[in-house]
Amino acid sequence: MVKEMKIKKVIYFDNAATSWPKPPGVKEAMVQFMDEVGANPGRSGHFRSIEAARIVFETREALSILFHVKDSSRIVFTLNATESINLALKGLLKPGDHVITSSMEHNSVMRPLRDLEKKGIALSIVPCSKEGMLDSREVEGKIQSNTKMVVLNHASNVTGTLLPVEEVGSIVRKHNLLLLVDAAQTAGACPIDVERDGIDLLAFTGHKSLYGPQGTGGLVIGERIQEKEMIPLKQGGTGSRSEFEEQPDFLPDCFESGTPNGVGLAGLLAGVQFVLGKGVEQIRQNEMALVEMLIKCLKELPQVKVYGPENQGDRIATFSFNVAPLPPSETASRLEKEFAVLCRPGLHCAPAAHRTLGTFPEGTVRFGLSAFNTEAEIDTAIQAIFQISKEG
Amino acid sequence: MRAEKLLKGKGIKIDLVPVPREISSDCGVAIELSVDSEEEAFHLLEENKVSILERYARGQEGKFEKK
Repeated sequence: MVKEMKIKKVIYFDNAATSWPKPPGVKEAMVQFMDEVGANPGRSGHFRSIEAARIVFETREALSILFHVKDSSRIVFTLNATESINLALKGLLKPGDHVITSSMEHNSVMRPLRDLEKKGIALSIVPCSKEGMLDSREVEGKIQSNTKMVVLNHASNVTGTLLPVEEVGSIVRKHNLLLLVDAAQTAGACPIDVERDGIDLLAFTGHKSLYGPQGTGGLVIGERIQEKEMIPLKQGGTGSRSEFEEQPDFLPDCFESGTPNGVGLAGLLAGVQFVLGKGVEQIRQNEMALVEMLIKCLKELPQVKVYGPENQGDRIATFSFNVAPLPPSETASRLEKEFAVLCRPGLHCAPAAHRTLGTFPEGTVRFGLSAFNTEAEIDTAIQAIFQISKEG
Repeated sequence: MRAEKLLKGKGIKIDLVPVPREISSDCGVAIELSVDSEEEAFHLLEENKVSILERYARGQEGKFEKK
C-alpha cells in the first residue's frame, strides 16, 4: 500500500485533519531532542533538563507572539484542541450556568457540551445558514441572566466558513461573559489576536496549520479568567512545589501535570517558527489563491455541488463538495485510487455542521489545503474531479 | 526560563543551578547571581512581572539566609 503510493506522487489534501508534509526543521528538531536533550523538562537542575525546559518555554513564547498573548505562562499545553476545549468547558462551567454555541461545531465542542447538559448546564445552539454563516446578533439574542460562556469554532472543519469571532467577542465583553474559541482549523492559517478579537480562551492544536506533530496543542487562558477558579482535568507532578501534596495554583503548572510531550513540543516550536517566518497573512493569501481557483472550476461542473460561503473572504482553504450521484466515500476512493489525491469523506466528526448544511447523514468530500500545496496539484485535482463527474 | 532570558538579555551574569538542598527538596532550578548585580536584576524581573518565589543570600559559611 505504502509502496504503491510512492510510485505516483501523492497529492495530500487532508490537511484539515493533519497537515503533511511538515516544514523542514520539524523532524530535525525532534530528532535533536531525542539525541541530544531527551530529559524531563523542569524536573531537575542538570543541563539536559534545563535545555528541555527551555525548549518548552520557547514554544510557549513563540505561540504568544503568534496569538498576541502578553504573558506566555497563560498558554498551557495539552494533547490537542479537544483536550483544551474539555479543560475550558469542564474547568469553568457549573450546574446552573448557561452556554451558547453554534450549529456548526465539531464534536470536540458538541460532545462535552451534551455531556455537561446532562449535568445541569443549559445549552443554546444558534442556527447557522446553509453556508455555515453565523449572525452575531442571534448570539446576543440568546443571552440570558445565567449565561456564562459563548463557544465558537473560528472556522468550520467542514466548509471552512469563518465565524464572526471578533463581533461575538465584543458582544461577549459587553455582557461580561467568556468567549471560548476553537481554533483547530485556523491557528497558523488565519491571523488571531486574542486581545483584538476579545477571546478569553483559545483552544488550538499543533498538528494542523502550526505544522507540528500530533499530540501537541494548548489552551490560551485570558487574563479575565481567575486560574484559581478553574478546575484542572488532572492533577499530579509538575516539578514545582514538590514538597506539597496539593496541586500548585499558578500558571501554567496548575493545568500541566505529568511529563509533557517534550519531543512533540520541540517539533511544534520548529513548526511555529516556520509560520512566524513566512507570516500568517502570506500563508493565508497563498492558500486562498489556490482554493479559489479550485472552487471556481468545480462550480462550473454541473454534477458538482460546493458547500460553504459565496464570498471567498468568508472562508479558509478548507471546503466540502459532492459529485452527483456518487456518495462521498466513492468519490474519495476514486480520487485516491485513480489520481493519488488524498482527502476525507463523510461527516468529519461534525454531525451538527452537516445537519446545518443539509448533508447529513451522507456527508461530503472535504479538501483541506496547506502552505505546501501547489498550483500543479490544484490542476491535477480539477482534472480528476472533472473525469469522475463525467463518468458519474 | 523567562527570568533567564530577561537577565541574559541585559547582560547580567547568572547561572541556572539546581535548587540547593538546604532551601527546598523541590526538583526545581534556581538562578544564582552576584551580589553586585542583585538590585538591577530584581528590578528588571519586577518590571517584567516575573514572580519570584523566594530570595536567599549565601552567608559566610555557605549557609543560605532567606531575604
